[in-house]
Amino acid sequence: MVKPSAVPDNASGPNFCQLVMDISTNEETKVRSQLHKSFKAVKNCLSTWKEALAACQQPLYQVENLCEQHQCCSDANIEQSGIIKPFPDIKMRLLHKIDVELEEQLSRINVEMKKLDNCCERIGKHCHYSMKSYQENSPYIPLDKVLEQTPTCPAISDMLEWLQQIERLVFQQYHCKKYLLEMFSPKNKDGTENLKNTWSLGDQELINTVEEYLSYTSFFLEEKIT
Amino acid sequence: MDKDFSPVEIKRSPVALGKNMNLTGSPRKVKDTAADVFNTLHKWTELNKDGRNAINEIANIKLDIILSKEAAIEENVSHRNSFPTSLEPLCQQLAEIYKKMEKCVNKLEGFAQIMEGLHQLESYRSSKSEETLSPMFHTWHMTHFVEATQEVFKSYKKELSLKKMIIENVCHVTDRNTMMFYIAAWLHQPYITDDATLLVESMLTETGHRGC
Repeated sequence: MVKPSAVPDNASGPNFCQLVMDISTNEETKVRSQLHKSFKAVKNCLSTWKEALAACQQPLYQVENLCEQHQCCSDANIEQSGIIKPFPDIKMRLLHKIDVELEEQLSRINVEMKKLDNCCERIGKHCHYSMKSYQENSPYIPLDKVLEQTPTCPAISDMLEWLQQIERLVFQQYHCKKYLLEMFSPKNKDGTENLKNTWSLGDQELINTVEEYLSYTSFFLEEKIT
Repeated sequence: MDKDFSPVEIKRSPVALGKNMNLTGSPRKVKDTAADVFNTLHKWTELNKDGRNAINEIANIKLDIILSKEAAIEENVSHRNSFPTSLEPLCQQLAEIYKKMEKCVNKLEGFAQIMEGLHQLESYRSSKSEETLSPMFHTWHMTHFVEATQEVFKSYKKELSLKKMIIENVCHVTDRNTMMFYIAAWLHQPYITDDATLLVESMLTETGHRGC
């Protein structure tokens, strides 16, 4: 019968291997902790992003409608009929009123764009923090630990890759929308058409991708990392 | 010495009386007239919404006809009647709305006259008592109220004549752009300027209906 030793092996002080293992576990925890925070932030941003996109729908519809009105009123050959003789400035006044209304709707969209910008910035920062944390700690984490995954916890390498992909998609979507708004003018028919046709392109792809990655990390996000 | 520096008596502003005190005389009348102007404009807005619905229905019918006409010309076949019977009740509805709007404008004219009368009364009083005209409530003199109500009346009168033109011609439209022009003109009310809206809001603030 082997008698369990009452005194642990490292009682005289930690040996070198144990020390290296402790350090690597500690560094790995740091990276995982940062990734945990980053994916939490992504989760929060996704709901804000969805809300902002939904809030843009009504003003976008209004903008589309007002542009059509603007176009028709500009093209209407009403002066020739002679009916509007008592109202010589009607066209100018009407176009001014439509422009004012358009400005109002665009400012509503810009309020939502600000929220998208915040999300974009936040995800970008978190991606940067996670990459920085990995770069700082990578010399102490063995490669097999970086690639290690369990059924409930994805590998560090995968999570970093997902985070970068999310950041790229969010950045792309936000700047695409920003460009469309900058190019928009009621007098420019192409800008209006582009806004109408291109605004929602890629939105669903982004949401699906982020939701997919969040579902992979759902158990990881429920864990408490200390 | 006392005679040289006797206290100057200043007419108290009705605002200083507080909310619980009842106004009397000209301030009372001005405050009530301001509320009447606001209520009349609110009624006008409601009528404009009703008119917009009617005009939209007319537009749908007419655009359908315009499109079928264009198709008929292309296919060289006879097209439908340009004035279907379904337009008649809508035109009647618009005519009734116009009458009600006309009443609103008449009321606004009446309010402008009331303000003018009050202004003359106040001027007469001040000339009799040889004191300068002081602001009626906070900052506005009576002339401001007169100008504001007249400006509002003029804007709505012009807009009413535009509405009349639209009602008379909307069923005779032959192309899409003109139809859209009429709808937009009804909806956006180009002769009701932002200035007129601002004047009404200022009048309500001045008379204490809106909190400062």
